Amino acid sequence: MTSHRLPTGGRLDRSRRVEFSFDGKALHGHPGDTLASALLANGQRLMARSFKYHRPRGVITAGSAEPNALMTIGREGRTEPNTRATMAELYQWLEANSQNRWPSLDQDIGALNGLLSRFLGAGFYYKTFMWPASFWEKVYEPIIRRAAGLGRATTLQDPDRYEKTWAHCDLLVIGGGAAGLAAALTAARAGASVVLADEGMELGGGMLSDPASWPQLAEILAELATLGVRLLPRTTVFGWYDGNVFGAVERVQKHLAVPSPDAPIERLWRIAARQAVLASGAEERPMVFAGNDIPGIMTASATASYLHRQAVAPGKRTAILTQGPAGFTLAAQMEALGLEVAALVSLGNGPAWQGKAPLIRGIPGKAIGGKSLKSLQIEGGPRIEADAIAMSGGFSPVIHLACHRGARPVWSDARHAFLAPSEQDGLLIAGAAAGLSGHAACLGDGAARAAAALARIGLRAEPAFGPAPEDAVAQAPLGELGKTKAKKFVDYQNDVHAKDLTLAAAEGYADAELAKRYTTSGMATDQGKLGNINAAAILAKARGTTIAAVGLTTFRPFYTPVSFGALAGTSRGHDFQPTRLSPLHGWAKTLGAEFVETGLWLRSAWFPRAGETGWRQSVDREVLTVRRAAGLCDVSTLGKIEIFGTDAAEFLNRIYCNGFAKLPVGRARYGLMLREDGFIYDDGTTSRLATDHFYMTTTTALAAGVMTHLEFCAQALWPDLDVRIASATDQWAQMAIAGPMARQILQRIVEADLSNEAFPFMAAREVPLKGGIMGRLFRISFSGELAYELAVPAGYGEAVADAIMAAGAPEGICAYGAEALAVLRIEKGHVTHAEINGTVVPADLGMGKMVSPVKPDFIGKHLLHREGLTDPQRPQLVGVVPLDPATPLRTGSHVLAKGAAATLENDQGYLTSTAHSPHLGHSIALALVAGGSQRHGEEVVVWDGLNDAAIPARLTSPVFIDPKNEKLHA
Amino acid sequence: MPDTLLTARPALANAATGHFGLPGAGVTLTALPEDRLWQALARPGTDPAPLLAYGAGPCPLRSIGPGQWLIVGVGTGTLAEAQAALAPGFALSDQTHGRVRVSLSGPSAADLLAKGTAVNLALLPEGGAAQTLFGHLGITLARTGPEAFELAVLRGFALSLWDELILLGREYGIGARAA
Amino acid sequence: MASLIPCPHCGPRPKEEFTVRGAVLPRPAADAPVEEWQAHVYLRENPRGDYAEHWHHSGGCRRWLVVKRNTATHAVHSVTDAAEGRP
Ligand SMILES: [Zn+2]
Repeated sequence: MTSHRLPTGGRLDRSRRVEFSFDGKALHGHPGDTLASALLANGQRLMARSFKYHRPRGVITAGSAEPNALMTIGREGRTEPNTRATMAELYQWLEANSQNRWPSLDQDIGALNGLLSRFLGAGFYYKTFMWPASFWEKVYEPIIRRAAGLGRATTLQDPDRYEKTWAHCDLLVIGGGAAGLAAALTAARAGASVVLADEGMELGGGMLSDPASWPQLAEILAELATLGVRLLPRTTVFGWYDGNVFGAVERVQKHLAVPSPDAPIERLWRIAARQAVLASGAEERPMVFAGNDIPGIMTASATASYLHRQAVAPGKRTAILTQGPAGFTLAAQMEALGLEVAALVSLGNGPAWQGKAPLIRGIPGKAIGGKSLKSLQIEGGPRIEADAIAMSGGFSPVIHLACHRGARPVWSDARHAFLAPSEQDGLLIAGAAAGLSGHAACLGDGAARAAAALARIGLRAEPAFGPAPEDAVAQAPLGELGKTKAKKFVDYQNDVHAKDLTLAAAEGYADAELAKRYTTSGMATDQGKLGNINAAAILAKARGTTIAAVGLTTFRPFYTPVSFGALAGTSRGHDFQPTRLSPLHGWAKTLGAEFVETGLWLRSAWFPRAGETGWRQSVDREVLTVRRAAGLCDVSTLGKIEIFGTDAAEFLNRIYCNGFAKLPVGRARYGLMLREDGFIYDDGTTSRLATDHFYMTTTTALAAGVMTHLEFCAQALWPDLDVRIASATDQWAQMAIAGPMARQILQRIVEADLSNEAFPFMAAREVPLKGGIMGRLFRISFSGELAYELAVPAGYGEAVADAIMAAGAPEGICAYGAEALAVLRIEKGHVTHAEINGTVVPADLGMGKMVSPVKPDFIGKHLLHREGLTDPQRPQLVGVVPLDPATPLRTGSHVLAKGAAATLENDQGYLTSTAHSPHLGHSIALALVAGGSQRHGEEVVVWDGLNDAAIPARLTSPVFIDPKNEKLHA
Repeated sequence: MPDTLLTARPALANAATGHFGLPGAGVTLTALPEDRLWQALARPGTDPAPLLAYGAGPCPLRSIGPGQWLIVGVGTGTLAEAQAALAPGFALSDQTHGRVRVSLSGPSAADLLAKGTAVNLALLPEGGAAQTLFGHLGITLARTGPEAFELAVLRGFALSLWDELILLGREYGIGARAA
Repeated sequence: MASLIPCPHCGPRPKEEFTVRGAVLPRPAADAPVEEWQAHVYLRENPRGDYAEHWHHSGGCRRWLVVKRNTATHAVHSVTDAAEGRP
């Protein structure tokens, strides 16, 4: 292995060595190298095995369109497969490994696929693996997947951090080459806010491959920095979205050996640009000839880039194939550097040639070599000894972004290329992306386009550069070259060769989109950036039509692959979503609560005490303490909504199915809110604090939904009503104090008469608390006990809860959590969203009488009485108890008639909620059962399919505790 | 016990404080006192001028939507007095405990905010406010100076917002402190 | 990925701040026949082209808006407050 690094030149820092490894081999390069250039400098041209045939491959490009040199970079959690070596900057101790080879890159068994290749042509798996069908999943697919493929992702946790951000600007310039720099400079000088993004590690684009333009480049970059342009190198703009928002990913620390934990590794930008200039340049087209994938063959622009940027010569003797003047320029540059050009092969009309290399008019017949190029046979001409080929088949403007919002590429006969519409709302195209050639012409065009873009938003700008002539005439795509039937690769990454495409055309898949699916041409990580144009030329010839008629497949985001990490941003692990804490969180934590996630909330679930060995023991104790003495439960997570306005009562009357217009001040009422289709949406109590002021509570789950619903009704349905709505959920710490001793305990801290006469069931009003604050007190009960809910300003929540616990110590008050609350409500037959499941109407829950028959209108009134919703055989709320008290019931079990088989036809309903009732000493359930309200006392079977158990049980009233409500009214 | 004075506990009482991330003082994050935050509600189009006196500080009145404002800072009167004076044109909902305010200042404060909100901060004048999302969280954003902002967030999310701001501020160097 | 909706109250905001409800449909009169209610609740056009929808600026001003847009091109023709032009 010999070094191909030139003794001088390049944009490298030769004073520093960067150690790295490839397939375990220790190598070194310099800052300024990409992984690809460093490998070339070390004489490592074999970089990969191809996808299907496992052919030896090297780099074709020096940029983001690279189809071949995909590698796995990094260690452990930072392992990243399918990284383009052309885009990966070298960093100290970088570890790279080749992919899709076994046992090694040099000795790859999979290369046998090449011998089987006549079976692996286009559509091979559609034809070959048709039969028997069961073999596809079990045999064929696993084998194909093992043999053909890209790198493997790691299953380890990614240790790095990602984030997203927004930017706003007058002008976004995409691409930092000549056109982009001129556009940014023009706009910045005019005082516009400018963002300039480029996918490369350095701004400059094609100017970086042209040392003569470096002084000018440095000047422009210095001025841009002074003018405050936001320069984003290493940033790929990957998509153009509605509202002129562009998505971009910045590789903030990908090039660093040890990323700092204080900054993201990648940052996803959403750039809202008033105008944008697309200056994304052009891709040089490879030539489609036999053996065009042998390592050592690359595009002429890639050759120039490695030569000038990293001072790497791709070979010792380079043959140059060119259709236009690009190869002539390269040949002259190489000879000026003292490099040997084996031959300059011109396929078109080139300029005059005075160099040393022989000029040959002809086309490539076949490249010869295995893991490295040996020679090039000119069709009907000489064989040229060469270890490198630089090819230039003309240029294809990079127009992907301009087509992301529906515009189609249009073939230009003048430019011999597909162009995007040059003027769209919010986006203009400049420079090589518009088909132009030459730095001077691109500088002039970029400047003119920026001025035009700013004029659209009323800003005047003087172009920073004047118009200049182009330096080349556009060349037509060549299509397939040479007569041999050997493989001529069109899409390197997918191993699609010319014959695959003619076969696709012959079999009727000549449409660009069909050919893509049939041959896989244009799929995978590079999406055909290099190959699509040649594929179109070949399909056009096969169909006897024009390239324009064949067209291209649709361009969609993303332009290049974007990591999931960047798209997720900070939303992962603990930060996947925010956590919502109750104002009583600290209080519960001090008491040792176990917490449960309820939506975003953390709710106290139960409060274990010393000696309790399982949650059931704690919950049973809490339930029994509430039934016997008293308990305090945090219900702050309930939605709380304040409703103001002179029409607030009328508004609520239309929102709830039961009446609210005549609710007296100082009283609470349970309400059922329906959807317009008649089914129950939510339930809760609403209290009238003043004539035009109500306080609504909703379930925890639907707090946001109800708020949105009320706003819709107030704003979109009845804007004539004077009603104003504010969410107050977080303002109040709300606690339930329940149990026969609740009144006497609460009376110790409330400075108001709480006697049954003064504060009866469903009373609701503001009360002063000892200690100098006001609270809102409601005599409502979810547990079925004598109970109150007390709301205090959230900051005082913990102090008030502490005070109540201290006040209730003589009675043995306990804290109880969401689990005990659930047991208490099931014992009382109160429903939650387990029962209000979107398929029940009030009558199903035994609340049919609540529905006002007199109100002319309320949400849900008009469809509530449809035939299907009044059927007496609808599922209705019942209680269920097991005949054997020792047998537990499980939620989700189905109810069957005694003796009926467990079939869908025999299904009579299911258990919506179950609990162990410590009060009754056995399992109880609520269920929705067909005609259930008329079947109390009937024996049924509860079928628990998960445990394959059939449990004899009895349907009962859903109220297991205090059916006469004596405790409630005590 | 119940006769002792009840004291309020700030939502960010236990929040992390100190310097985080890289050296430097790109951003300072401060928990603000929970002293007055009222939500005023009126019919859309109502002139909010009568509300002004009840707030105080650099941005006493923050529009959060048509006919809705946050009154911030301790101005004249009590809630009951204000309610009596402002009815029936305005209704007041006390949110002093419902929303928690933090301030964010320093040369990188705007860059940090851009990581969460799509509001174009270059167009937000001093004294101006916007109701928006910061990541997943709803916030009332106000500009209190050239490089100074205030965020009001639902109390239950205050700690999540605080931690998120510190995380996103590490690359600028961020100092977090209680009021 | 991203897109901006011009809220008449808040200015351009990303779609993440909004919640879409669906077609703008006048609520039938209280005494309308059940068939009309049935259609109101269950029947929807699914046009390729112009469409008026109720969007809620849930992460901003919390106003319900009428967004007139083209379902094929994504062009937003107008965004107005839902209460506007109503009694
Ligand atoms: Zn809005």
